[in-house]
Amino acid sequence: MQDPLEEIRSLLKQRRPQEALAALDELPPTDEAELLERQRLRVYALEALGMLEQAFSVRESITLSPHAEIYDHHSAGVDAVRLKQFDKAYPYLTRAIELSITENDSYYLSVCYCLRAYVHAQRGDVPSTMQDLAHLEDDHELGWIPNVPKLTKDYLISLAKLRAQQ
Amino acid sequence: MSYSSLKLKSRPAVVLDAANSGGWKNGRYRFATPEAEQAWQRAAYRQAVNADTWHLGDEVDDASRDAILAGIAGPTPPMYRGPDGRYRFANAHTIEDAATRSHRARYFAGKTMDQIAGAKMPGEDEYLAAIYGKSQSSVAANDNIMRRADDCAQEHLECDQLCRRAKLSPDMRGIWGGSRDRCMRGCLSAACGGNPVG
Repeated sequence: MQDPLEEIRSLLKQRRPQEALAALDELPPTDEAELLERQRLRVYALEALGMLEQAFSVRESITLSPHAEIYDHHSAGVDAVRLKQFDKAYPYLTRAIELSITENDSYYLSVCYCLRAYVHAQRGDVPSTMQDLAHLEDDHELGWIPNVPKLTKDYLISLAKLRAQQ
Repeated sequence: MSYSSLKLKSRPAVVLDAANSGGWKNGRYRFATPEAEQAWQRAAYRQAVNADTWHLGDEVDDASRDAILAGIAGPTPPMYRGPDGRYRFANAHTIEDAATRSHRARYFAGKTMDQIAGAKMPGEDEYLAAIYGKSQSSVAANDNIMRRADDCAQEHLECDQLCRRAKLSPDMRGIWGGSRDRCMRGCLSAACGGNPVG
């Protein structure tokens, strides 16, 4: 018999998020680690349905778990930025950066610094923007996150200065 | 006078420098500067169109556009001008999200038509401030509305998994490309934010 979570992943790959959600609702109770994985799958299904606010709420609940990983904090930060909830994005991105440093895992680091620089820039905080940008290469470019403009160092510095004047 | 032309005439003029706002690239509209993006968000609020999904409106041909602007077109759907300078009819995809609608309703309550049609639309500055996180506006933080289906969600997930593997595998250095951003851009389709093909 196939692992139920594998079946749900398969539904998601087939672009059948509604059915994936229904299948998730029918699963019996389990331990916390597997519950977390179910919640992640729920997020993917909700995002695939375009229900970004609901997906973000689930993401936030995941970050409260002691089993939450860098990925979860990073993703909550990304989602908050996508929803333009910059104040909410800040702690998630900061936590993801802290964990990346502690666990010596640089995979999400540049995205987190870049998005946190974007959050600072939106607040018009030029020094903090520059501080986060110092962690990125000069030609750094982040342009694949939906609802977020292409982020380059020049764009972020110019945005921070613009907001600071307002 | 039709309802739609009355609504159009009553709105403040939309000041948007479409020529310098930005341009279409690989199926996505890119703003040239943060100022241009902000000018569009202001214009979108004034025109009651969703600032993120405006491109999904139905394009209006030149003759219809001229007739509508002249107020002689009869009843039509609401029309708006996008940051690319083109006119479109609003449809189900271009409706503002619930948070913006509730923000507008709050600021329009009790206002006269003259106040709404003034140089600045009620709630306009507060709307922009809310977007940029500088105010504790009453815009709902978590309105669980159904948005346009995000077809890229699964693609993002799959590329993220691939890039995670690519980073750890010496055989996949070409895919990894040196950073997660480069890997993601190489993996994602252009429509989902990846590099253009060709």
